[in-house]
Amino acid sequence: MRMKTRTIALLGLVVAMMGYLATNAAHADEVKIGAIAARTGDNAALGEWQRNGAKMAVDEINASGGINGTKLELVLEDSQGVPAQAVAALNKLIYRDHVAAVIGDAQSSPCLAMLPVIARAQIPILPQGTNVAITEQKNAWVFRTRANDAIKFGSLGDFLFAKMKYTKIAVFHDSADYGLGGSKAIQAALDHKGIRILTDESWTPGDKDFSSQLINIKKLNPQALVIVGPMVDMGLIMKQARQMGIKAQFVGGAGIESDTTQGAAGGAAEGVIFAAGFIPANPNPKVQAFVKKYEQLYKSTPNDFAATGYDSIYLLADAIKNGGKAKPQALRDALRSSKYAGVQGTFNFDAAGEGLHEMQFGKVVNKVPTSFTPGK
Amino acid sequence: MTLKATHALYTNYCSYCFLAVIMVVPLVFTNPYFSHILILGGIYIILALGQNIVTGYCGQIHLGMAGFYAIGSYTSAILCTRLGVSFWLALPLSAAAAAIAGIVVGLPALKVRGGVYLVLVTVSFAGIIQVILNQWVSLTKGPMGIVGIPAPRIAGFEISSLVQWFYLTYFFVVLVTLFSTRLVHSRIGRSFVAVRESETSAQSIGINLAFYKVLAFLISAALAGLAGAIYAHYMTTISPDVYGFNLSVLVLMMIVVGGISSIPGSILGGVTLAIVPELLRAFGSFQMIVYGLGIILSTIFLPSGLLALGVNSIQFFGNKLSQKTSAP
Amino acid sequence: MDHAVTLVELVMGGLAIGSVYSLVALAHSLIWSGVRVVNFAQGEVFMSAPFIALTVLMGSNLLSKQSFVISILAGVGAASLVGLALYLGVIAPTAKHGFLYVIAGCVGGSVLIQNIAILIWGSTGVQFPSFLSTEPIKIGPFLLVPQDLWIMAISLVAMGALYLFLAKTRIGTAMRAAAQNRSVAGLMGISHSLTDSLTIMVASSLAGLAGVLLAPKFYVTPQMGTIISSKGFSAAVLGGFGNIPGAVIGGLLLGVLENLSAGFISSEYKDATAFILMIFILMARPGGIFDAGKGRRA
Repeated sequence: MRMKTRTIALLGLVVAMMGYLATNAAHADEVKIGAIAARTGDNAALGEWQRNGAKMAVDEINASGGINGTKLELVLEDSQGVPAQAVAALNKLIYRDHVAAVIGDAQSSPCLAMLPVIARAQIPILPQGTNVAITEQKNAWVFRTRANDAIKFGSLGDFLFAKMKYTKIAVFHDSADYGLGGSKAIQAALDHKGIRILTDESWTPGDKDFSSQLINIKKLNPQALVIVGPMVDMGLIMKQARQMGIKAQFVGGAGIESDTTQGAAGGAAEGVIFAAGFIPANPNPKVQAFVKKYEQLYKSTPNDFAATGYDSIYLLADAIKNGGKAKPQALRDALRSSKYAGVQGTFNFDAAGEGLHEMQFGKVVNKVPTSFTPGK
Repeated sequence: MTLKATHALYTNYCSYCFLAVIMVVPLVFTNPYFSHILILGGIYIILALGQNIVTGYCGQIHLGMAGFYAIGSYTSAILCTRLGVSFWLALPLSAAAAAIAGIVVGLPALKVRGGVYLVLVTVSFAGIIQVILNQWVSLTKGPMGIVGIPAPRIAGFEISSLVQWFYLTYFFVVLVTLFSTRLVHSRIGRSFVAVRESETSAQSIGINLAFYKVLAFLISAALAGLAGAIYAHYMTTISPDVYGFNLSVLVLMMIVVGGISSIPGSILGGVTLAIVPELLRAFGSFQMIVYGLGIILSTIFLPSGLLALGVNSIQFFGNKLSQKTSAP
Repeated sequence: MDHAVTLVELVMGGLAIGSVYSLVALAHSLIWSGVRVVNFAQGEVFMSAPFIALTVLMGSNLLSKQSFVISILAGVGAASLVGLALYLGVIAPTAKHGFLYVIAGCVGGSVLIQNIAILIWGSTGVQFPSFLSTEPIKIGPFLLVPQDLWIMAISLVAMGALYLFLAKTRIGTAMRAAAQNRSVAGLMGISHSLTDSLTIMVASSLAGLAGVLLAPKFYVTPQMGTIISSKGFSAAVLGGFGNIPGAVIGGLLLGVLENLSAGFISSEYKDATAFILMIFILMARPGGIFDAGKGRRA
């Protein structure tokens, strides 16, 4: 008897499931924006930051009456950082939720996987991955809201050599595309100036023990150590490096100045130099307002993932207002001609879809990331 | 029809019934969301069938399918993007490459004694492959991944829409199902089962353990390679992070959830593990918690897999029918 | 001379992380020898300890030595309960069906626990305050990290305590008896459910201790258990699954091997080297390094 009930229950469930999947969500009188990122799994933190920034923006906009009276609705989906899941999430957002646009993913491989779907569906996507390939796919619907790796690390390499006058530089990067791409970009920038880096060590993201690589680095006695990878890993590296007696100046991409990294590093992150699209200590009043409100709401300092989430929503809102409606073509054109000034800087989307073209440089002073121009 | 005959019909043609139902879906439900999930499900079915051969039928615990899947994807991707090879040529080559790797795994597998050791060997192999994918940048472009993998062409016509991809994928699914069914009912299949049941007894009736074990690894690897190649062309971009341990675990779960050592079970399992995570999106931030709970419940209460439920539903309806016809 | 210094530092670092692997490996081998099951969600047991410890610490609002100790004990205790819950709720019910089901069930358990942790504590993770100085000390030409030394010391103490417990106490002896010959032990009046549960709890507290030891060094995230879990498992297999001293040696060996290969071969291929070495070791000694021969079959 139990078997029969179970069977009936399961069959009923199956039918219900099919129905649910196949039907379309009801149309509401709101503009829906989808957000995709890893919300569980190894990179869940990225999704949390994206959500924090985006949600704050949506709430702010709705509190002041929405866009021309229409409210925004944020629909969050989890990609788990897996490309096929990101595509599934994207399909759901487009074909069930009928979103006007999508922000995300925060990681590059899911972004790349989603591009063909976007090309077919023809709605705008605002990816946050920094792999240069994302804007090399000749996809007119892509609007990247973070500076890509080439820009970020290229300018960092320039900065290190030209402004800081370093000649003995070591690079320690993770083996994922962010780390590898970043490392390549720095080397390319330095190669231009005739500098070869001392060494190029790598770690697997999620690794916690870096003693072996750090021993190698220490032997070479670099002036500067560029660290590229996930925030927690970078913090641990700095801590372990100082413990081992490495005296080099730490340098890193965005994230190295975050609360997370500083937390993991203990005091070792003091004085680290970084290139970022977003610096919380930027005196710009818009940035300060954003940072203060974020800290109130979420009890932590925003990083560039949160800033991107925030800017992306405002970019879309701005585009809807200027374009007159939330229809794909109008949105796309409005985004292309957008001159919106966000907390990361002013956006200016070129034909390939790159929105930010410059980095800011900062230094962590007394645990606070501050803007930095070398006075030397 | 007697219950026994119905049961026999069910188990013999079950696979094809399932496949037929699935294949009708895009004609009824045209939502691309659905199509993508089922295409993924089809790729999963091929993976599950491969896993079933080595683990379900031959009894070798294999937690490294992701490695062979990766070899299939990358071989096809590299051949097509760098050497301009056509999809139809790249496909068998990818399966072959994965098969050779399968032999390489099979050999240490012969030496180790028992479950946990085999787990470590298979996991280690898949791990090595993933590291190579990440580090051998000149071949695989490392973590940057390979972009722009071309779509297959049939007689000058390019597969582009989701519906076309769906039927192409299920063309292969049907082929692999046919192959697996024939394999399982052949002497090779029976030898696999003999190896699984008792290695010493199998040896005593003259079965060459080494040959059949390695063969099982080879075949499952080839199927994984095939699935990988299809995946690569469908997604158009691949990168090493996809082919991690989690994927190997997922494939194992497909056969556990669907029904071990049963081909219709693999079909059910593959499709279920593609569909269910999507359904769970309705639970928002509880999506994965419900998923974890579901797996626990399924492994405790449904050891014969979802398939067992199907058999019982046939029995249930069969009973009802026979009651009606024998009414006074 | 330079190479020698590097070698020693690499080995010391390897021993430190290796002792943590050993603790997790011990947990695996203890459970296998006593209860004949594998907890594939050991990483989550490992991870629960520092989270609970942190929660207790934050709740007590003090940062004294006492509150540290209490929070650590709480964490380790919590880990033993998580392990027990996993055993009773997932492993024992699925073990009836077969090894494969234990693997699958534990995967479910792992996903469940990790995501509950994300729900409670968020995904960004928290910093565990360090109770030790993080400044390196110089001994001759070598630079050593006190934290590493403490980790090794505490692990050693824990292993010693385990040995004493198993060898000298009544309950420990009962557990060993059940491990050696389950049916006869039952005949002698040893309650299986008692020894099984105890074994699980002791083993899980070792894994939890490992988690707490690593927490200040590493940063506490819901995902921290994943990598350590696979390393601990590998170490246990290397040493011969179920072999208690083997687990200790396996862990230390794995830690040192990883470090040496990263230092002298290449950091990129560090993981691959470890995998390759493990495969070769297993081919040479199919039952692990301390291959017990035909007797025990894992």
